[in-house]
Amino acid sequence: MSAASPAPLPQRNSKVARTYEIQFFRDGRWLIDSMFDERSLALFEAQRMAEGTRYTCVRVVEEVFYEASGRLVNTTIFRGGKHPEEIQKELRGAAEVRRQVIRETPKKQNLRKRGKYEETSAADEPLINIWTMLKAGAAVVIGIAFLYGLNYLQEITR
Amino acid sequence: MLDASQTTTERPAGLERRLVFRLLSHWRDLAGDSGFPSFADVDPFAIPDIWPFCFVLDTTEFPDDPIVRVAQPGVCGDGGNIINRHISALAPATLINHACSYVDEVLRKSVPISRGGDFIRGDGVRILYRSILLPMSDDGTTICGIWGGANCREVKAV
Repeated sequence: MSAASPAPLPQRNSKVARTYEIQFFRDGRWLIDSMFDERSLALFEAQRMAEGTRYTCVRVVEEVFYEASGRLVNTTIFRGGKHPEEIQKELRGAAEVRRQVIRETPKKQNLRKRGKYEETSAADEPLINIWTMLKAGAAVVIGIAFLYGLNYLQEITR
Repeated sequence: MLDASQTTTERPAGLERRLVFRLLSHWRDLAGDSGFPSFADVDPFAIPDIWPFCFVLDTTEFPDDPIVRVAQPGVCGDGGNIINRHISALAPATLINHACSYVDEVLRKSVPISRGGDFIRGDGVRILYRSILLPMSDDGTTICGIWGGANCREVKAV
């Protein structure tokens, strides 16, 4: 059970609207329990719910809406309760995504933006190398065959 | 206007003091796993310390402009008779008007929402308030009304 960064954020900024959703995990998905306009109240209530027996897992999602850009940013600021296997799997998945984002180089990011980058796992790499070598070999064979073909055509036409 | 300290019922030690949390907990108890509680489940005598700060909105006929069906002295204060009035007809600088200001969001999201803020009352006194709106349903799925609770305090000018 942990509450991240308890320092209160500014609540009444005309350019930024913040809401706090308390969510609970049931039947394999997160459902909204209630919504608050104050971080401290949402955290307090979520903590209380997490300590009770009714909910397996509780979290608080902070929704920040930037009016100027129309951007909506969701951040989980609290997780509490017992974490069943399903949620642990989800957490591991999220952690892996975070690691990938951190690993990602600007070149990869550009390729991904243009839809030209596909993520491969380390286990696929030997297969990819063999496939690349086969393709290169095929290109060489086709090139040589083309040259022979040209040569043959020249001899015929002579 | 009633203050929480004016209610005579003693609460067991360790129970949450704040009105919105107590009302939300009670709403959850009534709802169980069925989604939404019914108004038939609400027993004012079971919540004598909360009930004086409650109100009920009927959303069946006019979901865009619900009708006030119940308003206890703690929320309507000296705002006159507001029973059977649409919320658009409520006096602007009143607690119940501010407490009802986000009813559309509750109907849209179908979850309890708590909001707070401040306003200047007709006599020039600044009022801090906290409110909660809870969706209610007779069949467990379709929202037929809103159970609300709100309390406030005056902020003395320094």
